[in-house]
Formats: sequence, structure tokens, C-alpha cells
Amino acid sequence: MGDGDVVLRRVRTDFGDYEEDVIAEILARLPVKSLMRFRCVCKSWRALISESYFVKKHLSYGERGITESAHRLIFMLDPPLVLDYEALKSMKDDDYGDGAGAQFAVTQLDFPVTKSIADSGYRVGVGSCNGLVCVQVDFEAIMLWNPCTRDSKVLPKPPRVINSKFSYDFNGFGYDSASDDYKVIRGFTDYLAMKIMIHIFSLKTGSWRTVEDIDYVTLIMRQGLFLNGALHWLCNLPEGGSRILSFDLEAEKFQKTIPLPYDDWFFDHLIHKNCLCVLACPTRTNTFNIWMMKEYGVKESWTEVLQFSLETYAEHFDDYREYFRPVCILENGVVLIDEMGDGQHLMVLSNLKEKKFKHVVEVAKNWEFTTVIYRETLVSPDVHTYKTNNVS
Amino acid sequence: MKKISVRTSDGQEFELEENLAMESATIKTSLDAFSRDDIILLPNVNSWEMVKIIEFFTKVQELETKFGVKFMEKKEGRFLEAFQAEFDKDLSDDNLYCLLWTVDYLGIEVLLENLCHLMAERTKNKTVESCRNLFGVQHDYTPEEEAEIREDYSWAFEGPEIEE
Repeated sequence: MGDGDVVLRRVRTDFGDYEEDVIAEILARLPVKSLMRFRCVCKSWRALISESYFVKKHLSYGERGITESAHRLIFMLDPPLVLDYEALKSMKDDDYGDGAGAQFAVTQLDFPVTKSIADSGYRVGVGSCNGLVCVQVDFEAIMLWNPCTRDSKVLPKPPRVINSKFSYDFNGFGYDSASDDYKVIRGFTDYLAMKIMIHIFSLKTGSWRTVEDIDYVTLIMRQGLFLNGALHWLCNLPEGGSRILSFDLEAEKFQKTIPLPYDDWFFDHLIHKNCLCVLACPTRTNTFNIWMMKEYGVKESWTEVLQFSLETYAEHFDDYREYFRPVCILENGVVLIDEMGDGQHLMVLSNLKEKKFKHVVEVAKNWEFTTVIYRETLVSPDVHTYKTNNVS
Repeated sequence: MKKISVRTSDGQEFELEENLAMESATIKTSLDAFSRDDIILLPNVNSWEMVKIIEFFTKVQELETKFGVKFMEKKEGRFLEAFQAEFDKDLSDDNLYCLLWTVDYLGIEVLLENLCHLMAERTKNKTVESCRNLFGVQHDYTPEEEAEIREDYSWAFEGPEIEE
């Protein structure tokens, strides 16, 4: 070694933390199943995998597309059925033959068993956010569930509604990034007084609060959709026409309604590619159009993205628009629930390229059910621990 | 273009183009402090690792020329995918692991990110034991503690994708 030679040492000196940085970088790119298994590798890995910053890092890598975070569609039945719609997307066209090929993409899921609440099997999907699914069990109990890690938590009971004129009308679940808090909404309508009341639950505080005296709108959809820090429901205005009602989770207030593509009635809303979409069924046709709001809140940005007709599928009905409910949009098709025919609910996959419709799987008989789309994440329902209050 | 000379732990000398050398935060810091005529000693870097690092940058430059995109200017990017098959063909898990730490030591952010991704791909279907071996991790659970985790999350230990 001569005088002119320079020996390099590590730039970073905090050896301990720094090693963890690199391990965290690798682990944050792993699927949830691998991480659940690797909790067994050693105690420091188990600790890392549960760390709040790590869970958030893993979540953000999925959101930003750095890792592939699988989306799944749950049919909230007993037991719940789950559709891996990425598996469905990658199905070859000839698999549409008799629907048998798609069976592999649908599996049963174990719903969490809880001793603290009664569970007759009647479950309603309230919403999903960051991999957490909010489920209402038997009308009164609310549960947060991560179907991927299998963790679950029963929330404190909502306040009792004393005024019997209020009927339970709508709900929603979302995340308030300003306060790093998950919130649940339950909405009630008093049709006589034309007023709405809501219960809001904050996971951080572990408590419900009630907001009353909200002016009435006719909400068409029960389940709110979470996007951009707010919950959204399709509603009809008294003066006619549809709009989107939004509830800001940070302000805990209803915002100005969002306009739809044009003045008419719209049905069903869903989220695709992080944008709100609505279904239009122009009268005197049997076509369905799906419109997507490419720029949030901007009326001019509504774009018709899908158009399909169900004439070849259901020839014997004159007007079957009411019987089909889109639940998610795929790259080359749309997944619909077909509610025609004696209460049977079938999942219909439409391949738009070939204009093919196949009922992929029979989901339920005589049962009205909700669907929820969730992503695989590490987020735990226990993300905020709080002392349970005695809420009567 | 000025060349920077480096010497690896096994005595081999490499001449790096200045802009490539500057991708290493560690080398850059020392260049700011010392003369560019000095040979930089890298006691933590083996010659095969340096070869791999140069290979990565050469390939990226080829891609940049071919597609007219400045990959290196992007904060995030997995360019390794384009030539991954070639790059990791002769790279064993253990070698990849060593290379990863070397690249981290050299502070080459963009390559580190690509290697972390590659490492994650290699790791995701491993068993707990092979993961421990690869990362050189001490097994610090009692048999009872480990059994409990395995039982609580039995579904995570089952599946056709998990390597033996």
C-alpha cells in the first residue's frame, strides 16, 4: 500500500440499524405468506415483520407497484368465497369453454371464529382498505379482518339506535391518513323527517360517535367506496338525476356531491385503477356502459371505458338491466353478478374481445350478498391498540 | 472521461469510468476528499464482485443507448429484469447475498434496489431453514416457541410453491 492509496471504510457507521435496513428492503418485497412463515426464522425477523414502519413500507411497495400485490374478490357468503382475479385475468381464452377452467380461481375462505359474538352466518361486507376488510356480522357486530394474515378483531358495539324511525341504510370503511386512523361509518335514514344520522367509529380511539341532523339524500348503494381519503355512495337527488355523495374521513363531513357524466340515472359504482366508475344502462337498449372518472371530481374527465350487451346471454328477457351487477373490471372483461332466475346468483365473466359470456361459478342460491375487493397486506386489525370501553 | 483506479481485496486493479465510479456513494465521498490519481483500495470488495458491478452498468448503458431512456436518472427502476437471466445465471444464492452486501457497502443505490428485488425473488419460496442458512441467521427460538408459530400459521408453511 503506497502513500497515494486510499482505503475505504463504510460511509454509514451505525452498523446495527443499517443491516436491518437492507434486510427490511428485501423482506418488504416478499408476499405476505412468505413473511408469515419467516417470522419463524428468528426473533428479530419476527419483530421486524410486525413493526409499524415495516408494515407501511410493505403496503406502499404494493400500492406503488414495486411489488405485485394480489387483488382478491370476496363473496361474503357462509363460508366466504374468494376469487383470485389475477388468476382469472391470466386465463386463456379457450378456458371460457364451459366455465370449468375458472373453478380453480375460486376458493373457500375460513371466516374467523369468535366466541365473543353470535354468528349465524349472515355477514355483510362494509368495505376494504389497505388489506383490512370490515364485516358486519348479524346486524350488530362489526369485525375487522385481514383475510391474508387471518388476523381479526371484533370492534366495540355501535350505539343503540333508540329512535325506531331510523332505518339502517348505508355503511363504509376507510383510512384517514391525516390521523393514521381507520374509520367505520354506519348510516341511518329517517324517511319521515327526511334526515340522516351516522355513527362513526375510530379505531385509534376505540369509540363510536354520532352525528345527527344531516339532510336527506336517497342513497342507491349501501356499501361506500373508499378513494382519496373519502367514502363514496351513488345517490339520487330529489330534483332528479344521480350524483356521487362523498364523506371526507378527516373532516368527518359530507362534501359537495360529485357530478356524473351526464344528466340521467346511474346504477352501481365500483373502483377500477384507483378511479370511480359507474354503470349506465341507456333505456331502449340492452347495453351497459361503464364510465370512469379519470380525474377525481372533474366532470369532463368521465370517460366511457367499457360497453357491452347481454343480449346473447339472456335472450328471453326484455329488460334485464336490473339483474346484473358489475363487481370488478378486468383487463379484457368484466365480472358480473347475475341475479336472474329464481334467486340464483351466478358470476358471469364477460370476455369483451370475443363478446363471450360464461357463467363461471354458481355463487349462491336465494341469498343477497355483498362483495368486497381487498389486497394482500400485513396490516393488522390491531394496528391501534386501545382499551375497550363499556359501550352499551 | 477520467478513469478512477480501484484495487479489490484480492489485489486486482480495475479502471472505472468516472461517472460509473461516482454511482458509488462510498467512492464519491472519498474522491471529494482525495485526489483522483490515487488508487482506491476496496478491502471489502472481491474482484468477481467488481466484475459483476461493471457488468451491470455496462448492460444498463447498452439499454439506455438502445431505448434512449436515461434509466439511471429515475429514482426507482428495475432494469435488471431486462437482462436478469444473463446476470444471475451463474450467481448462486450465497454469491448474490455477498454481492448485495458489497453493493450496499459501496453505496450504489440503484443496483442495490435491483439486487434486493432479485434476492426477494430467490427467497420467497424458501423454507425457514434454508432462509436461515442463506442469511446466516442465528436460530434463537426454543423448539416450543417455534412449534407454536408453525401451528398458528400452519397455512403459511404449506403449498406446492415452497421449495424443499
